Parts: sequence; C-alpha cells; structure tokens
Amino acid sequence: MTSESQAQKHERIRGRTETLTRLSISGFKSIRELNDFEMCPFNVFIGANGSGKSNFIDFFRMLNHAFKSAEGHLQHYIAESGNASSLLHYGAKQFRHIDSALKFDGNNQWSQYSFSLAWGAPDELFYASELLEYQRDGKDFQPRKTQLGSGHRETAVLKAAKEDSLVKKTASVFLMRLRGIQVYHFHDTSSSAYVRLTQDIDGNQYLAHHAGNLAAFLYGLKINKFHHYQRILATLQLVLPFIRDFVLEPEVFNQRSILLRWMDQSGETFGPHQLSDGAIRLISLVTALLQPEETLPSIMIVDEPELGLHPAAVSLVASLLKAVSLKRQVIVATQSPLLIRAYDPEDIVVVERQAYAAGREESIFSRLESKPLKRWLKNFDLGELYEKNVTGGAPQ
Amino acid sequence: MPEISLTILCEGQTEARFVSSILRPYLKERSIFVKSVELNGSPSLKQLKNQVESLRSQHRGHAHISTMIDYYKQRLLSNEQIIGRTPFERVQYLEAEIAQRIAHSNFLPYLQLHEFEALLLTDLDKLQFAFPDEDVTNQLLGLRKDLGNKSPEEVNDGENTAPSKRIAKFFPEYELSKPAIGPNIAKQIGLDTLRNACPHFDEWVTKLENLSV
Repeated sequence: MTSESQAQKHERIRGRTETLTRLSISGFKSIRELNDFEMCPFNVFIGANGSGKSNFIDFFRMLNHAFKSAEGHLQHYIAESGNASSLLHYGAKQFRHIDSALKFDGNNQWSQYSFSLAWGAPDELFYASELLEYQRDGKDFQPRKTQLGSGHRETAVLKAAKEDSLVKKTASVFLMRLRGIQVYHFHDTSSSAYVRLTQDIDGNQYLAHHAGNLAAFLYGLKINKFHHYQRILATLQLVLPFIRDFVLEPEVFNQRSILLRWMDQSGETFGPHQLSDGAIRLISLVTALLQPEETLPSIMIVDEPELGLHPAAVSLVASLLKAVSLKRQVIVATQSPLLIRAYDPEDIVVVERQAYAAGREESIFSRLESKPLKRWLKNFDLGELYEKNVTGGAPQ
Repeated sequence: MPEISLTILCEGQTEARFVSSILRPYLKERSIFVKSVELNGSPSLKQLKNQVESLRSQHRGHAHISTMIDYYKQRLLSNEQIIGRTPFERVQYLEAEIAQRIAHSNFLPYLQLHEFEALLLTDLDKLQFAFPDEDVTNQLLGLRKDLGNKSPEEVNDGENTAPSKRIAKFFPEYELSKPAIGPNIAKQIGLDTLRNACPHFDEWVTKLENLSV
C-alpha cells in the first residue's frame, strides 16, 4: 500500500484536471454546518447508516439536477425529495436556508461558486443569491466577482452562459466546471431500469449517471475507442468470466435502438434481463471507471459501489477507483471494509452523528490521519480497523 | 480421463486472478480443475503450513496443492538460510526446503522469481493495452533501457530494482491498481510466451500439467 501524501496526490493531478479543494455546506439535511472542509483528490466517506454519508452525496445530486439541461432541474429535485422543508436541516421551522460554497483550484487560478437557497411559504426553495468568483495568479490583483441576482427558481448561471453579456464568458466557464461534477448512481437495476431497456443508439457520448445508456455507450466505444472497449471487457472478465463479449448492434426492428445483449463462452446470446443486478451494476461501474479520459467527468462521485458485488468484484472496483484518482478527483461513500482496506488513512473521511443541542443531531466530518493509526496498522488493515470501530464511524 | 483437483494458494488478488484467468482454462483442457485461494499477503512458514493442512483436511487428502508466492520479500525462510549462487538455484533450494518442512505428498510449492511482475516484463509492448488513453512508447523505451539485458526472472530484488518497482517508475498508475491491470496484461501476453521467456515458471507449469492422481 502506498502512503503517498495528499500533497503528492494533488501535484500529480494538477494540470490534468481542476479539483474541488474546499467545500462549505450548511443547513442541508443532517449537515448543519460543514465549514471550509478540505477536499483531496481522493476521498472515501465512511460512516454508519444514517450518519449523513448519503446526504453528502445527495447534495451533489442536487447540484447535478440544478445544472441539468438548458432549463435546470432544481425544482424537479426538490419535488422528487418530497418537499422543500425535507431538504432543510430539521425542516423549515429551524433553518430557513441552505448555504454553500465550492472552491476549485485549477492551473494558476482559483475559483469559487457560492449560493444560498432560501425557503419561501408555503413550501418552496429559491435562490437568495448566487456568486461567481475567481482570481488568476499574476493577472488579477483582487478576486473578480459576479453576482447573479436573487429570487430565481433555477440557477441563473444557465441563462447567463447563454445570453450575450459581459458575464457570458465567466458563466460559461463556471457552467462547464459545475457540470463536470458527476454523481454515478447505479442502484436501480430492476427489470424496468433504463439500463435493461432499449436505448437510443445515438446517446453514446457520455455515460449517463444511472448508466441508462450503457449499451449505447459501449457500442460507441466498440466502434470509436476499441482499445478502451477491450480493456473494459478484459477487466470485467476477471470477475465475470462467463461473458465472452457484448453483442452490440442496432435492433432489427428499430435501427435507432440498442439493447445490452451479451454472449457467453459457449457462443449463446442473451439479453439484459438475463444479467443479475450485481452483474449489471459491475458492468456499469467498470465502464464508468475505464472510459476514455476525454469523457471522464472532472469530479466522479460514486455512492456505495459495493452494493450487490462479490468480494472479488469489490476489490477490483477498489483498485479501479484508485487508478482513476490519478486523472480525476474521486469521491466515494461506502460501508465496505473490503473497499476501505485498499486505501490509506488520509483518503478516509469519517462521518458521524453528534448531538449539538437538546434532541438535535448533526453530521460531523473528520479526515483520518496515518500517524495515530501507525501501530494499529501493523496488525490490522484499515477495513478491520473500521469494523472494530478504531477509526470511528460505527453506530452509537 | 480422471479428474484431478488442484488448489493454488496465491499470495494476493493479482496472483489469484492470474491463476483463474490464465492457468485455469489451460489446465482444464487436461482435466485438471484449478481453484485459487488467497493467502493474506506473503505467508510465514508456519502460516503456510497451517493453510496447507486446513486444505488437506477440507479435501480429505485428495487434492493437489501448489502455491504462487513472490520470491521477493518472501517470509518463509530467512535469506541466510537459503543456499545458491544464482536466483534459480536459490529459489529451487527454497522450494525444496519448504516441501521438506511441510511434508505432504501432493504439495508442490512454487515461488515466482522475483515477483509476479516479472511475467509482465516478457513482452513490454503489451503494457500499452492497459493504458489506451496515452501513447506509452516513451515509457516503454525508458523501461527497456532500465532493464538492460536481464531476462524477466533475473530482474532483481531491491527496493528500487524489483520488477514492480521498475514498472511503477515509468507507469505510476500501475502501482495503484496492480490487481486490475497485472492479470490483464499477462493474458494479452499469453501463456506460451510467458513459458518461453521464464524458465522457472515454465518448469512449474510443466509439473502442473503432468499431475496425475
């Protein structure tokens, strides 16, 4: 196991991609106040059920929705979550706004996107403010700021990036930056999940966050990026040896559609409904992690990659996540000791619920350090230390 | 043909996947059914003996047992106890000693000179397979130069000169995800090429394919 410092990891990824370096979130679900939290190139969030790990991921899902398509889907996300009050820490009676700031470090500059969502009667969330800031080394003596107004229900960055104005360029850059954060969520593998149904063959430029276009994406790779396709297949065969190849062709009845068909070692062809949930999830994950560098999102977020996977598959995914962190920033939420075992203490952020007032609890985030665990690590691996609760993160 | 059952105790995931994806299909054609079992890292003599005996008891003595453990950083015998001038002599001595100390018929210890990664050095061009995003010609040139004339199994056992360290020098990504990359590259190289370039490895595979009940 390498014990590379976070500074070395930052150095290695610099120039290849922009990274999120500081994050503040307050008032969002169980996160009362996360202040200027340091994010690293590789981040593995662990914690008991209900600790707030998933809420942390949900924050980014909210961002994904907010910046989705030309109009933005924040309100859609709020509706999906139940109601506006359910997104606020202890509901609208206590906290009336969600504040956040995301600071990015790029080549010779930093930039920051901050916003505040306010609650409005009877049950609404709208933008009370949005601010874009950046400062380039040697070019800007002071940070350049762009305020985007208030009272709007979908992010103003979308409109600002489209309309001709002084802020168009800045807004476009920020839009690209924020759209580069992608949460991958492969939990829906039911019989009606998109990944198992016919897909639009043209939807193959990027892998959808739910892998709904997996067949189309793999088809695109097979045609245009054959070496990447081969690498994905060979890697899958290490834990799914029964798959000889995918059979990816336009459907006979509709040349615009494609299904995730596959061939076993005997040459027989099967359809997507004949792959188990775990197998589909694994194929989606491996494809996401081994896709060509140019389609890799700048920040990849994966929630519970271990779900439904055999231990051998979990270990494989653990190594693939680590490999991707050389090129892109990675955020993972996990419960799996097997996954955790592959990493160093500095990679791990422990999430725990803590009381702060009568009957009130909040999620607290703390990154582990190697030094205090040095002696433990002589006899136990990090996964075992997690199980024993030496690291923290157990239900209490 | 009578079926023969063989369990190979592998040092880690990388070796286990190598055994499953490359040795298993090959030996299956000779009616030898291979299972790979993971040790948790390089075992001491006592730990290996325990696991061999547990396997024995599980299979009531019928299965053949072998190992795939790295010679570099092995913990079975201390270096002073190993006799031999060349790496080949030393590893053979070590294997014979282990076989004697864990005296079981049907037990065939094997250590990979000097590490699993030696196998990947048999055909450097295949390393490109693992890195489709970039052109690794320059890295391959550097690695070839670094290796000089040594045959894969002779590439040595220092902190900076072991095969995996040499690969990692030019391919940092390799260091981080060996278990995912290593077996794939070996598969691309192919068993025949591996056997032709690695005599000690070839000797082992020959013994395995000739196992009889």
